[in-house]
Amino acid sequence: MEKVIIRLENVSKKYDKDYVIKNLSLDIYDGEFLTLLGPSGCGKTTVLRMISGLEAVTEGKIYLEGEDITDVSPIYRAVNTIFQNFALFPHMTVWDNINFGLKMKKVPVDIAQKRIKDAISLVKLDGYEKRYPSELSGGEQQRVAIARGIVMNHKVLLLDESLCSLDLKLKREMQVELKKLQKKLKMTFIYVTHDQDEALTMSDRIAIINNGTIEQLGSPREIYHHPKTLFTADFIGESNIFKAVVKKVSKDIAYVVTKEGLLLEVDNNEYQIDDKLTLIVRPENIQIVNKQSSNTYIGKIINYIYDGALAKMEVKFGDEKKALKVTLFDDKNYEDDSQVYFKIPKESITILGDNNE
Amino acid sequence: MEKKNKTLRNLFIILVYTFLYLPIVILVVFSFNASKMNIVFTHFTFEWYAKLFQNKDLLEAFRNTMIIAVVSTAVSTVIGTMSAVVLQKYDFKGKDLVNKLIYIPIVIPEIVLGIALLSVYTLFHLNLGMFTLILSHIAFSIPFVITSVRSTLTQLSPTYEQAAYDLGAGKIRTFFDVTLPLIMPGVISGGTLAFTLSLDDVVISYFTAGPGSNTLPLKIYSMIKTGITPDVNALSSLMLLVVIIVLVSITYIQSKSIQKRGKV
Repeated sequence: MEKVIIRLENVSKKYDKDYVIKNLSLDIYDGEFLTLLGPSGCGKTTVLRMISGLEAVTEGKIYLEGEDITDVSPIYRAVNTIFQNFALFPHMTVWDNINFGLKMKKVPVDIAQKRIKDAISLVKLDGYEKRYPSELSGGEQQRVAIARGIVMNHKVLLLDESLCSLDLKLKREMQVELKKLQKKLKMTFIYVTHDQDEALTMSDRIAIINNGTIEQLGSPREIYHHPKTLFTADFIGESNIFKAVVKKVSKDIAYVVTKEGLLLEVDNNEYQIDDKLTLIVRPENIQIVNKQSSNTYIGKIINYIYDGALAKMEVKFGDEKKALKVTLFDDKNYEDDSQVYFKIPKESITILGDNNE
Repeated sequence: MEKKNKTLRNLFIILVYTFLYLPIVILVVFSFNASKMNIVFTHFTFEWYAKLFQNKDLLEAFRNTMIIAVVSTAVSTVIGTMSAVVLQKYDFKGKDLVNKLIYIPIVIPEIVLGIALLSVYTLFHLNLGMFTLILSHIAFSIPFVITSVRSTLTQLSPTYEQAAYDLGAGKIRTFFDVTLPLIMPGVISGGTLAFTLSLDDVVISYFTAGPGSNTLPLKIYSMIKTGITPDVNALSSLMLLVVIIVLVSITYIQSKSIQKRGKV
């Protein structure tokens, strides 16, 4: 069993009369990279700020290594935050910025110097010690902010949308580096983002936050392939969503008809006739096939886009009101308006019960 | 067409600056005039400046003015900065009203403020003199400092302070190590404003000065009752010089520190 480092217990946060966080419980393990992922305004940053102590908790408890820190001031909490705008002190050099926390904690100068040097080389900023933040690029500022956080030797680092101000290429590089750094330091990183790519590439676990509650918690794979709610399915990656009704059941297979009129075979899970289901299919799981078989229909390709690695397209079918999103690795070129058979493999269909409206 | 516009523009700028600076130039020029009359320039002399430095009354007035300006600037800058921080950071009942009340001392006629201060001193049986003068100058400077500091505070992202707390800095350390350096431009410009306001104040000082606490502006005011003489011109030119030196050195220091650390 992994060691819990931070425990949120029925935590709520109220602004005026509205709850932004409702009864949220979450165990965060020592040394994991946990991402709080959700749309803007879902409360993910509030959760982070409550852990750092910059936001007071309305109800519930927060524990750090088993110790109740709910009412401990941020000044004394053994966690550090990397702010969205980095919040580097503009009147201090890189060295002084990183030294700030050590100075406050009255770490002896010789020890402090060594730790600062280590932190600086860890984020590859050797030679930048005497520069001011205004003389650094966005990526370099980001590194200083990280060094300033990790130099404190605390067990938990909180990162608030820390990569979102960087350009795409730099962002990709930093994603890899952050993950490497976290593994090397064996620190717990709690990362807040609205960017699913970031969440999927870096995290050990992802907590999908929506409307102030955790929608789903799990590894990137679980979240992607087995979304438990419509929100998760829709928010993470692209998906084709069908509303369907069970028409016939056999031992292993249930036959359902979607609103669009597709008759599909799905794995039976003790469904009854007339059960309402929501089916989710990822675009890359849909196949273009040559011959008709089960779960195969005819459609017309529109909006074909080839981006080098992948071919993305939509396939219109039935009364042509709805188009399926399809992504192929196939390098075979399709023309818009060409007729194809598409297959929705039974095992790639994720089924949500009818409580998911 | 283009050229005509350019000429017009230059002409306009020249006119505005002439309007602003001609009187000052005349004042300075006539302070070097040998003639006692401010009408024709006869020939160049330092006579009036030499005379100033032999005038004990004037020197004492100058000393008083500097003491009042320095003390009142120091005190009002500290109080004003602290008030600005409190007003910016904390919410309390009636904050809106308090915010608006700050502007009243700035907008009410100086003469009213002068009389009001005088009434207070009389009420509390305070002897008029240097003390009451300093008190008055502090009083009318504070709102200017608050306004100046607040304008920089509102532009300051709260994340700097939060980052300081997050790194384990207490509130006092955070203020002196992080907030104050970042709002320094506002504090300095507030202080400069207070200093120049104190240096040239006549109206309020007129009401709150007592025997033996004459200030330079009051002295000049009493001197021109007998007509503008070249020594008044010389004295005014010197005051001008002091203000210019203060402003230039502050601008220089500020631009240097900005160069050093880049933009905030």
